[in-house]
Amino acid sequence: MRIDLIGKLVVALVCCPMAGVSAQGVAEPRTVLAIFDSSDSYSPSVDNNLIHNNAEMVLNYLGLKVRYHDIRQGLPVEQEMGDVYGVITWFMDDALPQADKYCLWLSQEAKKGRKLVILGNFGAYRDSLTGELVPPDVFNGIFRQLGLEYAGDWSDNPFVIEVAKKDSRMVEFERTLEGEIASYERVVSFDQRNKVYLELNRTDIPAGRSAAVVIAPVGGYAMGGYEIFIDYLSDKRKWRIDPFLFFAGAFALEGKPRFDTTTLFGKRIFYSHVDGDGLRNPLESDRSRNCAQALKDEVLKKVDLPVTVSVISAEVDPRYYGSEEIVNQAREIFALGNVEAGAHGFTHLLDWQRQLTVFAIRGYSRPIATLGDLDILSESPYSSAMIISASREEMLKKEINGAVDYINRVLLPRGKKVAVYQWTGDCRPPAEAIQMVDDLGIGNINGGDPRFDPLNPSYTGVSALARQAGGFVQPYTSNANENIYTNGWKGPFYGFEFVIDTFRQTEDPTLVKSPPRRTSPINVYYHFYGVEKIKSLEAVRKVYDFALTQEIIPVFASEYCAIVKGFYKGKIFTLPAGGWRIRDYGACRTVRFDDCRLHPDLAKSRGVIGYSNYAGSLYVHLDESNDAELYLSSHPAGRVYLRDSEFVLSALKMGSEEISFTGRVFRKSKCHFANLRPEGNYEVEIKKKPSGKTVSTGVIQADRSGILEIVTPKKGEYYFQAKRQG
Amino acid sequence: MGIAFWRSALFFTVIAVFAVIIFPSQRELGKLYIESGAVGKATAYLGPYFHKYPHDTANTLRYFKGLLYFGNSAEFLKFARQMRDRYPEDLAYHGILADFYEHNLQPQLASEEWLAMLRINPLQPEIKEKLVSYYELSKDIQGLMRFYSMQINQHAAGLEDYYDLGRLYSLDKDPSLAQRVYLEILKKFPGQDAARMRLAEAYEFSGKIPPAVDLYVQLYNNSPSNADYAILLAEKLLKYGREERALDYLGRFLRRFRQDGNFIDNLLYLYQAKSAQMDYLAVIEDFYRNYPIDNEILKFMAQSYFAANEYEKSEILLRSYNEKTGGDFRSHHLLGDVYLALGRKTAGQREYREALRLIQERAK
Repeated sequence: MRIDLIGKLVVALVCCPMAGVSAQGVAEPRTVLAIFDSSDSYSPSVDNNLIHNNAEMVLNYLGLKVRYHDIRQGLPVEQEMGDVYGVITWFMDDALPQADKYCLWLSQEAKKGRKLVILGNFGAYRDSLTGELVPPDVFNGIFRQLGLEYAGDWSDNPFVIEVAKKDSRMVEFERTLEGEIASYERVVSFDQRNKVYLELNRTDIPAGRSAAVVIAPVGGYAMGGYEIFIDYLSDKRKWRIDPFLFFAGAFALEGKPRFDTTTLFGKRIFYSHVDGDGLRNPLESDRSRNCAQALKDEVLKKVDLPVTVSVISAEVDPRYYGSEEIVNQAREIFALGNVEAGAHGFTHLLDWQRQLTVFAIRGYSRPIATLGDLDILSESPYSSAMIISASREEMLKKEINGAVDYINRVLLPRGKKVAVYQWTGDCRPPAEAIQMVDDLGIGNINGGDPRFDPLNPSYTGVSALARQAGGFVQPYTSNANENIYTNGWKGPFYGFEFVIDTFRQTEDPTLVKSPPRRTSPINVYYHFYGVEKIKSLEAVRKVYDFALTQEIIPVFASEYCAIVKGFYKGKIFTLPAGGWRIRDYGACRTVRFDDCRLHPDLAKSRGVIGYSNYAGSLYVHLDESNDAELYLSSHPAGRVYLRDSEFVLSALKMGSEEISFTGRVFRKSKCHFANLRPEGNYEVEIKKKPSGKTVSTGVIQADRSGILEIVTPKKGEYYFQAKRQG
Repeated sequence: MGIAFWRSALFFTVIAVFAVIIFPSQRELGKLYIESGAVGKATAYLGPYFHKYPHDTANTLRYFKGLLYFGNSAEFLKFARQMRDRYPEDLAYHGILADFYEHNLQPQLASEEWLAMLRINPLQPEIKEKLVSYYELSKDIQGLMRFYSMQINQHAAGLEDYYDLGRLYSLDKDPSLAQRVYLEILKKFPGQDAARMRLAEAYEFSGKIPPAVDLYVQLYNNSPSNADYAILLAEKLLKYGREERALDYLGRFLRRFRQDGNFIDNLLYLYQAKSAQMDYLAVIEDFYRNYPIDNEILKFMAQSYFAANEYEKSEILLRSYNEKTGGDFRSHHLLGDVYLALGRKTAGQREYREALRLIQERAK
């Protein structure tokens, strides 16, 4: 008996941690380490390199996070590699410092099971410090991991290079290869499992076949010149490979869940934010009024959408460039129910590195005065900027904490606080600036300015999700602002309306050979001065009007920032029973499966409130618990679930007899629940939140397929309850 | 009392005479308003004046600016196209239309105006950049070819334009047109070795081997210290059966590049592929007798003997090399290969291990 007990205790002790492990599942690392060479003119920095400018957006879309490592700083240390799923490299030339050491390191990482993707030049055939060539056995240590052998025989003689075999879908995505077979290196694919999508042939040598685009079991390779086309005059680029297919294959992502930042409850995310510039500018149509008044009266009061509005505090504060009148105008804007408060700096920094700004403030910033100042300005694109004489620490404190504090204290009504910091000028704040904003517990945004339209007909124009500095995340905007569409505010002033092209292309592209694919939210982003001209105001309204015709779910900019944060913090574990545990996703409550014909198994899953499909992808809606388990099944769900919603809902409870939730709406909106009794009648009661006053009651009927549509009142926060009758 | 009649008559006469100057005309008012930013008021004056005097380009352009300012695209397009067609040599109308199309995301229409502008005045670098970029991005290869040819005919093409055109013809696998371009470059810029090389490639593709080989010889002779040209020449001489000349050049190459291990490796790769390699070995041995201090040659010879299955000779040379220099990754690796070929597995493994140690040490 005693022995039995001890035996049971031992079993329990041994099994408990195992049970913990099995419940947690196996962590699915999501970080790709991007190696770049800052001495390369195309990759000078962490936020300006071939991978960040082209590939990161696609990797983000596929659910991966990218961390950068400048190879000029030496090899990554072991601690850096812990969470790394794969390594991607993209170089323009063939030399690196300590190239042989790099080759051995990279080869070791691949042997450890990390995926390996090489785009463009392999980059380590030669040591850039000594000029010495790396022995072929050494660099081929890496190629062999990919089932390839690099044999040289480089040529740029177009007369002797031809395409031997190509899979157009993979290698002619945004541009055909016809008349553009300009360079050659001999790479032999010896692994039968490799899929060669582009094979070249050099006709003047024996055995001239070369594998130029390959997906291998451990990664992928796309030869320089066949991965992307670059027009060096305009710096515009077009993909040759289909990066979505290529990365999904090379990183073996098929069938895996991907955190999604474009969609919430099945609808495309919409958010809008206004930078504070030009708030005091008089209107073209009526010079007695300014942009603050026009924004409030002509836009914010008329558009039933949430808008995050920021001000530059020195422009409002009567101690500097503002006045009591401006203070009141700002207060009126921030008092509006559909307005969230943002901060756009104290003096509007232009160049975060060189400490240049817009406004001169005694004892803080001043006009150019010395030859040294001239040197500083001449290195910056902002030639007429003011120079900040304060220390860097003081500058950041004033521009971030000071600006936020002023708006909170002076301009906001009770209960409202600044929710977002909208970066100014070059939008390249140092890591400590982003950290300061994070420490305030608010979101941050700006930079990126993506465009995908007839002038930029490529996914390369769509920016990554965020810029990263020292481990801190700066979400980029999802669309470019009106300053860009109006040529730096030189006209045409109606230009902002062309942002609609990008809205369209990032959901259903027609300018490239691509299936529909939602790659960005809709983001209406402009400045106060964007309403100054008659035509520019019309454009702003036209853009909002377009957005209102789309199937969107409007959120504030701070909520979008939180979604991006959730994307970076979220974790995915594979469960032994074939599902996934999804944790720490915060506001990023959508996971997506592409090319998916399966459905969530709602009986088996936990924390999953519903799902919907768009363009062949399955969008799964997670609840607020921050910890969900998801299983897929080939059978449609048997339980009641949320199919989609045009508004943010929370505290959702669902059953076949009763559904209840709270919702925040900016306009009359709809949501749909599925798997209710076909043609069953439901008594719906809507109460105002928090008063609990009933605003609407009625009976609605589910349709023949059991879909129940609930329509909200116009604006406000409500409690909703739907009970089955009879 | 009062003002004399003649004085008041004089006053009014002066006013009448100078009225034209004192009171601005419609044209001047329009100009003043538009320059002060009052575009609405300006248009009221610019418009009527434009309809009376459309040939006044400065006023017309101000009027168009006003129309665009207010987004009056239809009217702008109607009048701007009329004016462009009436004055096809006037850059301004093409320019304002090109800007309009560009800003309205219609790059193809903009490109037609840019092309027209460059026809009128080929020396507009910014416009040229935009047009070339448009052709490149939209992959209008024929358009790009026509444009470069036009620039050449207008004597406005720079060296880069010639190269770009030659590259396009080469990519189009049209050697005769490519040859024409590269010959033109060499006529205008005789020092352009890059053109010489491209021309040689085009000749080779057309089967014109003797002039191609001559060009490769010229390339090397023009830059005898350029190892790439030397290798290229060796490759072509061997490829086209100019064995005697190849042997002749081998001695020269060895003298000039004997310190360059990479070059020696590349050269070896070329020569050992040839059946007459023992002849080359003889040249090399002869060379080594004259320059016994050049250890790289030992390795070169060892590799050649190895390729010719003369393993014992290769072993002696490699051991000598390793003794003299301490050896490197390649020499130990090759010695490993030699031992393996001789059936001496343990010795081979030892050499491979040493090669690995050296490479790892180098990587530290």
